[in-house]
Amino acid sequence: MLARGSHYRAQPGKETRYQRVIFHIDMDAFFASVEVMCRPKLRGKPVIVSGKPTTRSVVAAASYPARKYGIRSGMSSVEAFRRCPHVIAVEGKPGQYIHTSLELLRIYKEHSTVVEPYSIDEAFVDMTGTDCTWENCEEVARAIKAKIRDQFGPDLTASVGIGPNKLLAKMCSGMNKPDGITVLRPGEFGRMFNDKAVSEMWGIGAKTEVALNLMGVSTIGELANFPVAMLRRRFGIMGEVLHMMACGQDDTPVTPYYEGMPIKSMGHEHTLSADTWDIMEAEQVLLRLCDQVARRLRKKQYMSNVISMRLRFADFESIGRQKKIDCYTDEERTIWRVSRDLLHRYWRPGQAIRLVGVNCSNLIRVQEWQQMDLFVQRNEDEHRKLLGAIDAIRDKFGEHAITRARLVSHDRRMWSNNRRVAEPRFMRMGLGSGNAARGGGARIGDGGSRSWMGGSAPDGARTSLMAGWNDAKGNADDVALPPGLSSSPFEMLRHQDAEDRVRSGGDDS
Amino acid sequence: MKFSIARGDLDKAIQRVLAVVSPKTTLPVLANLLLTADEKAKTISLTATDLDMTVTTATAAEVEAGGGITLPAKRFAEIVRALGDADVSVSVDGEEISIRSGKSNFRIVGIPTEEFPTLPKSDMADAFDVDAELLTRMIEKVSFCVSKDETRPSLNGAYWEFKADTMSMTATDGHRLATFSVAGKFKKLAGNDMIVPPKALSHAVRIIGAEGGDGVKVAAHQNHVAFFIEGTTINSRLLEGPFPNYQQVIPKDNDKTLLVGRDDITNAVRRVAVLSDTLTHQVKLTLGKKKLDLTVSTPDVGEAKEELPCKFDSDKMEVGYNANYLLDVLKHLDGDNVQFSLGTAVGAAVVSSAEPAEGEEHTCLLMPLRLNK
Repeated sequence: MLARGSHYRAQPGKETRYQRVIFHIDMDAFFASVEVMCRPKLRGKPVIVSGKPTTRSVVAAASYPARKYGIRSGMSSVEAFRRCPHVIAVEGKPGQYIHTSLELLRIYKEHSTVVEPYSIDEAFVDMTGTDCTWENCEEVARAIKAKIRDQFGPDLTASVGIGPNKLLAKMCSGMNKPDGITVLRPGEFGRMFNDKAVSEMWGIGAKTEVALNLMGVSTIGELANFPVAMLRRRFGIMGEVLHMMACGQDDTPVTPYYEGMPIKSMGHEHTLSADTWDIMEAEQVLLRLCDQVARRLRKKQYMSNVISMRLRFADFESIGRQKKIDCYTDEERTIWRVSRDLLHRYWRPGQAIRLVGVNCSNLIRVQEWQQMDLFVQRNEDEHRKLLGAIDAIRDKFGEHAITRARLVSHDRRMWSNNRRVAEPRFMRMGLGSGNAARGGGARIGDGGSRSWMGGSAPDGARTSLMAGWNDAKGNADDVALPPGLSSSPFEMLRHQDAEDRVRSGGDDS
Repeated sequence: MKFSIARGDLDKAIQRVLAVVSPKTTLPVLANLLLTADEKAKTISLTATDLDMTVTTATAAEVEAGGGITLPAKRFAEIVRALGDADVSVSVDGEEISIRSGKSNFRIVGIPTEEFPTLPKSDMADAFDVDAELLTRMIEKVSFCVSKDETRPSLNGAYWEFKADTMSMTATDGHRLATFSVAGKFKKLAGNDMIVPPKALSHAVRIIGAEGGDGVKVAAHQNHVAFFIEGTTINSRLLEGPFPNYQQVIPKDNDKTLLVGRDDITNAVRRVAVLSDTLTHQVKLTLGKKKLDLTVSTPDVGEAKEELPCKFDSDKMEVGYNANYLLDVLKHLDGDNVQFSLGTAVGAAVVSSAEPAEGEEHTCLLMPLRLNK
């Protein structure tokens, strides 16, 4: 099959030589449909997908029966229950949705190589140059829907919009929901949309709508006929874009960015279940995110030397701070050291934290040769082996099969009493017995499923992980380490300081 | 304030302090020079600071009236450089400075001295003497290893250490390390250990080079250090330690020795490194009894190989280094031959001159590149 659409870009205002055929495929009530698909007894019932019921969760998706009660995604769960007391709330399962979404993309790619995932439940497919034409496009759409039905059953339905560009395809897919197909052939735009309100246009939000209404523009047709010069004066360069949109023109290409596009950064963010004033809690979240990001870097064989940390406070003010380091890394201990420093430097006591994030950028492929470091060489090999073993366990048993001991409990006192523990400490969870890990070819010490904390650490692990390090004054390596830190001398002492500062409520401004 | 001075003298004085003025400053007054005139001593002094480092220099002038002002550093320097040979006379009226020389007249606006930051005081009485040439040599031999990585702040300077019978300076960025020590009697100075930012050290080298002079006086304080070089004083903040125990990472049990001509290996590395990877700059050394092979092989780029004579006292061995680090080390060693003392392919190599100067010890450590499996 031929794929040409992604490289094609029409000249604005010029007659296009090729007429593109773009599909926008939008899954209907995606999360809710996936849940119904997994538990067919929910079929036909009002179902919402949200977070844990006890938390301040919002509705991520509502099934069509639930929508009849006025429940919409984005609404708080409390409000949903008020509107429909017998609504069934299901906790979201992101892993399942991602899996389904990737499978859907695979189906689309059987029809064209130019597939742009637009969100977890939407994708653009450029059919230009394939055997799909304006004559048979409806048949192709039906074929795609049939494949989805064959694979996932009747609960997962899609609405397909077909248009000569992404804008029109996207606007069409929303017209016949659920389970619909809407085709807008070239030249039909005016007839279908001229009388619709400007707010129905994809990309025109509440603010732009008000601004346009104030200029006397309320329908798409009026916008198309409005003098461009005036639009430009009011909206700047966006004025021209608005005009083009109102004329049904859009030249953005369908970009299959998941393929062959170099990854620029990798990061994770987490919104806390409740705002926190406790830096230790934020640290804990940050540590978990660092662990996830480092795991992803290693999995994709990338290394990074720019590490950034992001915080959002209770008042929704956000800060992002980054630091470039001397060498490239794919290890959480380095990412954690840098991001934790940034957290301590830019968080002010009293600021309530809502979201924590960490991001690694300036990525390079893992190099054949790697520069060794004078001050970490002693436990470098052991540490790489440990990371390899952890990755192997996670590959075999899933991401949650093993985690850091620090992340298991929220009890800080445990750590203040057990600070004589060197990082990295990992804890195996949920595997039942130690044999499972060994069976997977991954073995870390003989710890079984015990946690490696304080005295319970297996000796082999402790001796290999706590390489002897002294500082310049000749102190032995028995310096109490704050949890989760590397045992190189600088880090040890610097973090010791930081820890003490935090304890005394100070800051290192 | 009013004084006149030979243009050349004023220009020289400005050049001694100008490097400290950073182009981008948060405080406008930091872009200015503090200019004071002392009527009794018949001297003027110029001071520049970036808050981390302050340089003050004094020079003789015909002072008619004492006083002080701060004036824009770059503009003042440009004016003085462009003036003719006639003497320059400077007078201040309020915040306005007028500069006259021959038939040229300039008026520039300054900032009152009160806004100039208060600077740390150093007393020359507390200072000890260091041989100027030795200090320059010591700084030049180690400062190339100072780390630029802000995540390890204690490595962002050179560690100057005094023991009863040696004085040494050490710098490292974790990938390589250089330490230079000289024998002598330093008992009185023991405990004056400090981590000095490289900017202060390189400025000291520059002033020593420009001023000549044999002796440098150094006053070490808890948080700052002062270098007195002729009429110029460099005052710098010290970095917070502790500096890592570098002695611990210098391998003691490296049992293999490679002896090779310094120029030979330098030129060969420079040649083969043209094809090395732009990120790792890897060059592989294959050591044989009498032959050293340098190879670079970079996918999608090409291969380079060069052979040179050497003396190696062990069985064949392969080790990889960052060519830039290797060249840096070779450049800063003395003598015609260099000696590599090696243990394993993943351990630090101790590189030193095969013909060390008496009473001095200059050792460099180089961490290899490891081949990822």
